[in-house]
Amino acid sequence: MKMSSSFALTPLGGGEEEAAPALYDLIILGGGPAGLTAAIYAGRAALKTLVLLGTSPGGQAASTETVENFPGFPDGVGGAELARRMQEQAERFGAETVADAATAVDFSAPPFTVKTFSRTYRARSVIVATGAVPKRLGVPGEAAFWGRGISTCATCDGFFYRGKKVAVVGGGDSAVDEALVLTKYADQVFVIHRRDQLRATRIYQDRAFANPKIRFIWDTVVEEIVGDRVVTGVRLRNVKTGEQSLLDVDGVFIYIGMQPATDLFKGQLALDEWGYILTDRQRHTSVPGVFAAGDVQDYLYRQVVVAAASGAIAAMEAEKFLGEFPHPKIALEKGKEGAVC
Amino acid sequence: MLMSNSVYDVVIIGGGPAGATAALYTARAGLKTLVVDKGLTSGALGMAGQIANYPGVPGPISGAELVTRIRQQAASFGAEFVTDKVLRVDLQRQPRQVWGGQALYEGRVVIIATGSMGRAEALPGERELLGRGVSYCATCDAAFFRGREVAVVGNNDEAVEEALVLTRFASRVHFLSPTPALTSSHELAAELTAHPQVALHLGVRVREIVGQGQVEGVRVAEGGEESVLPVSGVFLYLQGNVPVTDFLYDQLPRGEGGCLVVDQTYQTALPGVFAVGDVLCTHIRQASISTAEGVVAAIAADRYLRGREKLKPDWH
Repeated sequence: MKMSSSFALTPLGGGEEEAAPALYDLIILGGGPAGLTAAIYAGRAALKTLVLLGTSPGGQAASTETVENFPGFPDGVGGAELARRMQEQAERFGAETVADAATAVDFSAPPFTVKTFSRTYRARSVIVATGAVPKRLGVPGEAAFWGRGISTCATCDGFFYRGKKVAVVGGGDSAVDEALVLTKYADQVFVIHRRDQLRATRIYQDRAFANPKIRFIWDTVVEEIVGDRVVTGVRLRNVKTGEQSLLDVDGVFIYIGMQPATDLFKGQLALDEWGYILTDRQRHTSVPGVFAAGDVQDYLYRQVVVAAASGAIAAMEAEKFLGEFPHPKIALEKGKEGAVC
Repeated sequence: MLMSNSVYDVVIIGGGPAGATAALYTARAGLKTLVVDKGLTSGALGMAGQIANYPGVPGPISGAELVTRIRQQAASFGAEFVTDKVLRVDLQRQPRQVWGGQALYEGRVVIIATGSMGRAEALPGERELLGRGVSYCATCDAAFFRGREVAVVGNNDEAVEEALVLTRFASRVHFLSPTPALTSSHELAAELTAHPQVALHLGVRVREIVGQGQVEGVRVAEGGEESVLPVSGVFLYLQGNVPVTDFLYDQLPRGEGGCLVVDQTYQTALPGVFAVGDVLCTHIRQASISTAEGVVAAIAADRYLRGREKLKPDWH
């Protein structure tokens, strides 16, 4: 942690922390690809930048064993390794990173206040990149095999299941569409749905029903994900008959929803009905000076490089926003020289 | 005219960060993918010296190296790459046709990622003598200059490769580079320099293409002095800073300066035709942003080919 420069900028240095919280040009909430790329760009633009890495540094990317489709890595790259490289890059350009997370924010007026587990900061602009997490089944084996045969992204991981058997859990458009994507790779795709019919729209249903590789298992929930080092099967229970069974599969794709990490921002930023932060194309939120990037504002693509790009855009917009306002750093320096502060 | 031997799911015009990343995603999605590109240093990133802000690649690495890595990655998933210059397209028919200098390529989806290093202004004499000795495609026209002297104007991979093609026909190839050093790869530059039929002129500006009814020479400026170099053909590979969309003619509506307008999935006015990267009217010129655009277009292209035109999440 490099804190010295932040103290240098604290206007009333040496006072109580609560009385004079460190002031940053930009605080980035979240240390996944979106937040870290924002930090690379902000650091390079010489913005005094702090990244609160959050409770899961590296974000969803870090829990991915191998990222094959992040452009620039012909041999693939470990998700955690990719995040580590981005963090180093951000630090090299001068961004500070701390293993801490916001517990409360006040976006009512700039400078904005960000409270964390350990202290309070102020920021002239904020980028929210807290991400989203796929909803989990909450069954035994899920935590143990996450990333080792359990995935929530066929576009990302379907390729690993060529010639294998996989299960898809869910019954909406996404589950069925991704099941169809998986048929390009896997030999057999089981769609496990707790009801006796799909929520997916008709055209996907028809396509899925017509696909010889897809088999539907109705009225059924997953009770446990079993495996050795990697997933080897799922234990199922029929909700109507109570009958239990074991299905051998090499992979499980869970499509029961995503949960954006936006609890902190309710009442402060405009969210959509599912809790995603509403942004425009430049990643402005409903509050001027607060931007959002990555999966916390993107429910469509959920790709590392797309999140990274939105972080870059948010940082450039933050820079623009800061340029349009008087800079307290300059005021402080003038103060040192005896000019009116 | 050669026909490429099969219809591709996706033909991508331009192999920079946007095009090569789109190829990485479409190939990995199991789509038969072809990238048609003029050459590694024909685009902005391929020419860029050092990149340090591409996320995950602390570098600094050269732009050409980054593009090469993305291309390798796309190729590892089955994307095919061909070095060719696209001269025109027919986007209305299905499959869509992409006419290169060497072959006709057909694709169900076309992604335009040609960048913005086109020239806005023609040289004096260029328009008048186009097709009368002025050409942009040695692969197409070299045979007309058998036993003649020609000039190649440019400094990048494309220019060098085309000059080497011309050596098989022309008696002498004058290579006129506007810069004191070539921007092409070392291998190509070495091959060009060593070639007995090539006369290398470095740091030379072409002022005018001269000739009555057909090219008779080029007027060049070198160190403040002007002279006319007599040649029968001039092959131009100069770069500028306008979107490269001339090959589209009236196939797609174009914005100011020839840029392309797209919707949120990077689809143009024609369904199944996408555009990404610097060729767009609203775009930030950063490799990381171009790559993301390639991803979004690739995913949209995949959905288009599967009949799902709209991305519609149904759960959150």
